[in-house]
Amino acid sequence: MKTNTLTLTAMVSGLVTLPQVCLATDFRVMAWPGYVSDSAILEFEKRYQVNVELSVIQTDDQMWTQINAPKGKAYDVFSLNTAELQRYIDNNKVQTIDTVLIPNHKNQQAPFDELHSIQGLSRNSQLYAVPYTYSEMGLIYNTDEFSKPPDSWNILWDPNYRGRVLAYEGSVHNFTLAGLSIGIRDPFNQSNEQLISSSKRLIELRRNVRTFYSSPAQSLDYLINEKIVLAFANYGSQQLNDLHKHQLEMAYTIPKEGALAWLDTWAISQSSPSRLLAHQWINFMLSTEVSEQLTREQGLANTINPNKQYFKNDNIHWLQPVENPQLRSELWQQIQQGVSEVSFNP
Amino acid sequence: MRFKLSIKLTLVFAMIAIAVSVITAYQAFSASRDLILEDAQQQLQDTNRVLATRIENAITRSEDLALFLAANRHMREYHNPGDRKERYDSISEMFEQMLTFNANFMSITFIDSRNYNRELVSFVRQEDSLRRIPLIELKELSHFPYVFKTLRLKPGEAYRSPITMGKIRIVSSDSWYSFPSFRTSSPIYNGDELVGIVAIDVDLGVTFNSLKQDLPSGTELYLANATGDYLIHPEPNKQFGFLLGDRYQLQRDFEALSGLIQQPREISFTSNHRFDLIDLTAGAFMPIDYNSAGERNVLYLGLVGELRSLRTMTSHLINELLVNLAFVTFIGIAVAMLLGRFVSRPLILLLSAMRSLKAGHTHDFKQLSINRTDEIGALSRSFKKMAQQIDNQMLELETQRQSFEHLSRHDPLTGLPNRSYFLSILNHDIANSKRLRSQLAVAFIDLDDFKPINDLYGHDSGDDLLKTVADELRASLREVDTVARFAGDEFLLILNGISDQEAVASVIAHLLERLAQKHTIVEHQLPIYASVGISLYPGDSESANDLIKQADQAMYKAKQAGRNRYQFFSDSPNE
Repeated sequence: MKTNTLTLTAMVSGLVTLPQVCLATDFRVMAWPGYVSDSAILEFEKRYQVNVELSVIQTDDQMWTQINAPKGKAYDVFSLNTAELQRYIDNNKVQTIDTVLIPNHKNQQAPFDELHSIQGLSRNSQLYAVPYTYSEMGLIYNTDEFSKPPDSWNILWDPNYRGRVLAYEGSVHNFTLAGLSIGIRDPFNQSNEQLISSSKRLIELRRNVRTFYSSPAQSLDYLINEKIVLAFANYGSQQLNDLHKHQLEMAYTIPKEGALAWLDTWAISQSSPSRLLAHQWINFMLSTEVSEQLTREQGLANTINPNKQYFKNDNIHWLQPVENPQLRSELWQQIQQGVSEVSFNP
Repeated sequence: MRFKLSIKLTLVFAMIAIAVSVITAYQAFSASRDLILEDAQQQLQDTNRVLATRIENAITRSEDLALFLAANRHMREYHNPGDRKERYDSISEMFEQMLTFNANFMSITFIDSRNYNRELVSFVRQEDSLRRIPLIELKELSHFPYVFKTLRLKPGEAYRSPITMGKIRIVSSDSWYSFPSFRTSSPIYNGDELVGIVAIDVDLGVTFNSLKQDLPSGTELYLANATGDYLIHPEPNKQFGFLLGDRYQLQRDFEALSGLIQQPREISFTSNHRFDLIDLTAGAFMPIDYNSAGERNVLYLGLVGELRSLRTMTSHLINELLVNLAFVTFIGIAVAMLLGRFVSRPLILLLSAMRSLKAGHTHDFKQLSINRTDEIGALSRSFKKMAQQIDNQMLELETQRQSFEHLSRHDPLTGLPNRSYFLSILNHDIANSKRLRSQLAVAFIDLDDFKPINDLYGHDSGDDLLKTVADELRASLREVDTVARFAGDEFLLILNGISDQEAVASVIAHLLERLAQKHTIVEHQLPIYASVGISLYPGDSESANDLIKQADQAMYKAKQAGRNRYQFFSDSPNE
């Protein structure tokens, strides 16, 4: 009778639960805030019968940690900039990409029609990433406070604005920005002495800022609630979009030193078990609907209607791989924790 | 064929019985289930409220201690001229004691309002000791939101930071202990002068672990922040997923909570599957105010428990249901078999009666259930009636058939076989004689002067005369012989098994004598005379028609020779 009970209940519950069993496999995506909308996820899930699990990262350091986590999740695709991509290729963290499997690549306009001509996307004539969006990281300033746009990044260090400056949490860009501000010729490639100088410069920055933000939402919160007058716009046009939406007395400029700019791409993780599906994801992201939605809702550029002049602008410094991202990250952690002097043991 | 009906009936009855018992059991189950679910939800909700109060108390208690510390004279007067070393030591001693007596405090820090909010005194709990942070390691904290937010507060106010993940390195096992923590901090004023802040890191894990121990087994505790991201989850990897960008959120996991974040309120639910008997759970979630220093914030506390009592009840009910089913099925089959017999047996009898009727056998209606008062009785009775009617009709038909047959073979006036019937009898007798090697004679009799009698005395007399002749002929012949009316006043005879011509002559002579006696024809006494021609088988011919023809010819000779006599065909000269 006991067995019967079990069998019957198993049958009954089997009958009932079967239709609820999710047949779909999991497809894991890691992306920057706003890159993947909920509606796009729903559409992709419906079209390919998978369950999409989205992780939204907010700093390059976070992404590197996640991808390298020994017991971490097996991500399928993730978005990252061309400079970051280099260490992922070096460490065999990404798969090659075959544009034959991405028919929507034909939607991409110059300069993205020639992927091999874009620096950093390929190595040994193998393609590792497909561009998705791009922006420079300019300076946000309060128009009440500044009658004309500040012309130098050094304004962030100006003690007149102490406690009213907002900076970003990421280690790599901060060191590059610090290098740029003290006139280091190649801020992407700093010597140990230069890194120490940049560290000092960043400690000074830390003393002048209200705080460091990581997501666009967080930056908006601080801009609204903390009387911020100057902000480093890590998310570029996406943050500008937020300012307009909330009708803040803020404007956006590119100082004379120029602005760092990122070209963000989609790459397929080495650990992805579904190579085809990963290509289908990238293809889906390059569809007219998704790309135009990115521009419409997030204010981010897409690769389908790019601004050609933009790529000829001398004031735009496209991100380069940096000399030692790990070292930058470790130094930044010290600075972030509040040390008055970094301990430096390269 | 014999059992089909009763098997069908048995099945139908048994199925009805099973269906009735299943439905009854399910209704009973459903009613008790709803009660249990309601009760379970209520219980979880009550427990949840108690837990919420305890959590709020734990948070408030930490805040009270932060306020207590902020009022400490050594900290308030820290920057006053005088012995700073003494103040430092007594602050250290107080922090140390506070940490010792509050196991959930992970660190206490006194932060300067100057020097980019550099730490002045800081104690941190380590694995199993307390560590005073050396001067050289003290940090500048001006960029931390809790610092600049606390510095804005008035005396006697406290700030609580959002709950985040605290981490302690366990050196002995080279691993990290992570826990939900929050920081409570309060500004320190010396009169109107802002001196700094005091901040306590609180390990909420300690509080929650003690709460969990009080929960009934099978009940899981959940805590989520304002966006629904888990801070406490039975699966540790879903805790603080947002720090890594993962979206592990209660509104995604519990359908009933989909609107909770937009509209914070108390929600209780059960896993909403009407027929799910195994994995039934109930849940209760409620918001806890986590407002701080003018910032609106909320936490969601939830309990989800498997419904053990329901599970026990379900398995109990299913056992009972199975026993009931077996019993009801057995009874159902037994009753169905009886009923089947009651219904199908008379039908089977009817069927066999019908078959015997079809086969033309006599039938016995005694076995049929004629006396029953139900439809089967009525059916049997009407079957019997029908069978009797059929019998009667068959009998009538047979009589009619026989009379038709007689009519077609006999002369209606005399009742004697007619010409065609005579021919068939003759053929039959010839065949018989052939087989027996015997002889037979055919006699052709024609009445003399029949027409004048007919004309003189009328048709009735003629008919009467013919009947009298027929009677006389019949009376004077043996069983084996045949007399027939050939036509008008002509008669035919077959005399079987005759030995010779003389024997025939003697029979015919005797016949003529009998006819010649006076007969009463209507009211007249009249003798009857006739001429007879005789042919013999096989002497004259072996063919029936020839024999008749020959007898006719011989009769004609007898007429010519003077009537009232007989003539053998073989004796008459051929012409």
